[in-house]
Amino acid sequence: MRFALAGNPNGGKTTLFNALTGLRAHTANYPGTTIECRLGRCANGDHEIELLDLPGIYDFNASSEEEQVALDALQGRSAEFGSLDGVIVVTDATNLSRSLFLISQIVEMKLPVVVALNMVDLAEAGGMRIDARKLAAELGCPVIPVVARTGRGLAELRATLRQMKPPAPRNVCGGCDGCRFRTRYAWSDAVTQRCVEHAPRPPSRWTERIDHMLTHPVLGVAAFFGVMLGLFFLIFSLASVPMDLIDKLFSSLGGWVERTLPESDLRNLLVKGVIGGAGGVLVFLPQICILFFCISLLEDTGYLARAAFVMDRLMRRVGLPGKAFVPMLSAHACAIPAIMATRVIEDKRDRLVTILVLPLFSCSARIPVYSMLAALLFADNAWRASLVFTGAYAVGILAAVGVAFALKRTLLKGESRPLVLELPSYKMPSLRTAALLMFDRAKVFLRRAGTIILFISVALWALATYPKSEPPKEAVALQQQAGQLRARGATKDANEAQAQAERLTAHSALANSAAGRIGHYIEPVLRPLGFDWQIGIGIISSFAAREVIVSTLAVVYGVGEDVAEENPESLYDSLRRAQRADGTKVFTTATCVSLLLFYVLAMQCLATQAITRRETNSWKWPALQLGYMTLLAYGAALTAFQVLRMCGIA
Amino acid sequence: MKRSVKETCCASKPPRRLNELPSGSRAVVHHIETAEKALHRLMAMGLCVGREIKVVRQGNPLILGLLGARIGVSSRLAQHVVVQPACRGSTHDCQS
Ligand SMILES: Nc1nc2c(ncn2[C@@H]2O[C@H](COP(=O)(O)OP(=O)(O)OP(=O)(O)O)[C@@H](O)[C@H]2O)c(=O)[nH]1
Ligand SMILES: [Mg+2]
Repeated sequence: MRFALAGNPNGGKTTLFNALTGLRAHTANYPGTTIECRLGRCANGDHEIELLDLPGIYDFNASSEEEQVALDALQGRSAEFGSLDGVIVVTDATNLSRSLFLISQIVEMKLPVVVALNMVDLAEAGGMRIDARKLAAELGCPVIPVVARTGRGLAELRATLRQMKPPAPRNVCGGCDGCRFRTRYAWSDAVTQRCVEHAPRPPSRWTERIDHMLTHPVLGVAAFFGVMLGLFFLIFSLASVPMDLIDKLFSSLGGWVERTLPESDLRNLLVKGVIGGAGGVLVFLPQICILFFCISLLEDTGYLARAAFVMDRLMRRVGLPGKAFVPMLSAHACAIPAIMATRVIEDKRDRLVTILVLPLFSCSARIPVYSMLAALLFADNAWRASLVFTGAYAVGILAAVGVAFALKRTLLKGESRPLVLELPSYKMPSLRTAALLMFDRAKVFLRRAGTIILFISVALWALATYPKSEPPKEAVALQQQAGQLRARGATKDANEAQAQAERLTAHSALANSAAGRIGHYIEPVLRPLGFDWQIGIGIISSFAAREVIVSTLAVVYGVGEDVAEENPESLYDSLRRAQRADGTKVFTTATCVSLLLFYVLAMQCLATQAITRRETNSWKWPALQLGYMTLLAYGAALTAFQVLRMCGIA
Repeated sequence: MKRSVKETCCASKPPRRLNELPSGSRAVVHHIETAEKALHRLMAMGLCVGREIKVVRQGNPLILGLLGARIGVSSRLAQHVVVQPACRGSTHDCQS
């Protein structure tokens, strides 16, 4: 048996789906959260039923992509999901008269129907009483009051699902001519009047006042920036303690391995490849957890729709609708769900432009890169380091706005669709939802660190270590000199010569390794940006996933380090000390700024490219995305480096 | 401006465009001038000739109270909706 969960957006379909199936599909207090059909299974008595969670719809006429997907599945036209054995209509009990409009149309489909009257907790709190039995009689199908969040009424709903029959035939619309909506609304008004015992109390003064402020054209925008600033402040201030802990943990783990294992390639692999590589990325777990937790709480309050509302006017100046704003916000976590969330944008060109610019927003995979560069630029000034972060985010946003503006005036011309967006009522956010989302995202992050990033780190370590080469002549000479000096008792000079010899050896070993050769091969292209061949290796390795650069640089520069170093305090220390063959520092201000700009703007995520291809159904758009972002990144990094160098900031 | 209590809304006031009404006012939809696709969604949300609507906040975009829900609407779209402003809280007698 297969049942679909259908209803108005934000009615709680996905919450009910999760409650019934035990899955964890994304829910939020924003109409248009679900954009794909999702199939789940649940046991019901002795048989199993299949549930299909659909995107929300207002009507049987789709005006955007996700509505079309839902309608196709609901009417059994989808090739993937086939025909249905019944429909569970999920309705928001606090606004019955609106929901009845859709219910009446679904009832006319002649499929077995049950109405899940959801959010009765909110209706009761608002002083509303709905007579479910009367409503069932009016509709000719069972009506079950439920609270999807807490699971109230689910047992009755399950029991009803076991004995579903097609509804008694009825035609609300009689002879609908002219406005096909009018008779239906008259009918739903009448039914509401008969079944709802107390009219809903008007929303509290407080809610109205807050809403008044948050939707104010000026105050609303200010409030939005305040909220965002607070969010980022929270992320960085809360995350610093656990991040230090994890960093220390990996450093001492590395130290322990060094002390216990004898000097060998294996020890080197463990310390530099595994612990240095994957550990360098794992440090960011706390930031990612807090980011997703806060975003989920914010989404669940109902604020997101207000933000899209106040941003609509600003976005129109660029040529995009306010609805494009919500994907843009979520692109700061990850571009992949954001690209999928563009389905709520009705106009095809607006949607394409949004998809094309989304990867410019700084996603959470860039956090490790920004952190690393901020630490290299301003090692001991937290304020300036956070300025680096803010700057990087701002550059991403400005670039996206600029590119969208340009695209809307050239390649994808056309006026954007006017805004029609429901502003849902405020709800208390669910901590459980936020915690579950956080755990899921943390799991994804850990899986990435444990698979692709670990794999690339180890592969890089191997490429940077083999083939092994003889130490260069100068190094051998220096080594001998050091021996002589030591014999004469000049220990300090001896140590210096020794260190210089080791650096030369390491450099030549890396330069002659496979990775070194690749790096040298591309160095001419990158030298104008201030990058040396080691950074070149980092850039190549991070094409699949950008955070890999952190682990790559740790491995590449770490390989050159004396492994038996006293006590490596931090994973970045080897970077800070990194020197070119001539003894100058690698990570100068100009190089760091140029590298930062490159990482803000470059398209380095295979998964994003794949999802762009899937959502646009053509290779043309991901290719354009890759092309323009690479040009932009290269141009910006080049300009920044050359200008800084000319100004004497080396 | 003072109005008499007896005054009924429909006859006394000329129809106006939705984007010209002040915040907090109520009105009845008189007719809709465009067949733009975006309006279909608004109609499925409760914007229908003869029905009462409320302007919660005027501006661009404006907030419309439709069937107990708040909907943000571009004023570019709202200007195609011609309404009969109501003078008192309820417009029950207007719906004929
Ligand atoms: N208080 C309360 N809140 C609920 C209940 N069911 C859902 N919610 C909340 O309502 C909001 C919307 O829930 P979703 O499950 O995402 O709604 P949906 O119908 O899937 O929405 P779309 O996917 O956008 O169509 C979320 O913030 C939920 O936490 C309920 O029974 N009581
Ligand atoms: Mg949903």
